[in-house]
Amino acid sequence: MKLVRLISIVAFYLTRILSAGYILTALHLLVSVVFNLSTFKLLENGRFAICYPFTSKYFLLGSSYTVAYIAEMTLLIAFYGAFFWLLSNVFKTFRQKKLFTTQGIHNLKLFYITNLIICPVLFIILSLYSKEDYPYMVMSIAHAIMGIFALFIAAIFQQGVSLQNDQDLII
Amino acid sequence: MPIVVNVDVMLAKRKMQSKELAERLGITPANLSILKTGKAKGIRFDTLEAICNILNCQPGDVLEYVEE
Repeated sequence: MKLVRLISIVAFYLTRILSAGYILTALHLLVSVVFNLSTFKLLENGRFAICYPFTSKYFLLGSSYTVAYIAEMTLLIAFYGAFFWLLSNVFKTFRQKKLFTTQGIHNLKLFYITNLIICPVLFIILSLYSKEDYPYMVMSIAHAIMGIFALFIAAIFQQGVSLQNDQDLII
Repeated sequence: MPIVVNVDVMLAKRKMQSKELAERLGITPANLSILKTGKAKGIRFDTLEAICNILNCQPGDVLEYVEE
């Protein structure tokens, strides 16, 4: 159990940092484009670039300066921000001394709903309008597999909570 | 539940307070209350042994079967 907690702590911080990075990137992209900041550069052939804040060094490159393309880019980055945030919450559950909690079930539920419902819907919508050839189908399947595992773990946690409640009533 | 916990009766007979019994059993007053009110799903043998020892009684004095 010590090893699980140790790995969970490391994974929690890693995924939280990743999540913050993705969310900040999505915000930076959106703000740069909407307010046409100096970090936004329009390039040749309708391409565009987003620079690192307060620099002119390229950070993100876009191949088409259209609303659909920017929306796809922002949504995809923001989705992974949310995904890693929810994943970090799952790791947080495994950090606790008391493993089977309703909060843990809630975290797992949010994670599997995101992977099994939100992700395929988002990826289907994005694939309809996408100009890039992202492997949305493969990505959806990978997320669905993760979602199914999370669903099963949530069922185990549900059973664990009810057994623990029963155990708490044995004096 | 047809099993009735008579800890209250035994406490009254021994003129002991619930708080003192909980302290001597090493359980919280809340857990003792769960036991007394019949909300408990079970009682461990070591808890029963300690109750019998402290209250100087038999398990049958603490637990009673009452047909519903």
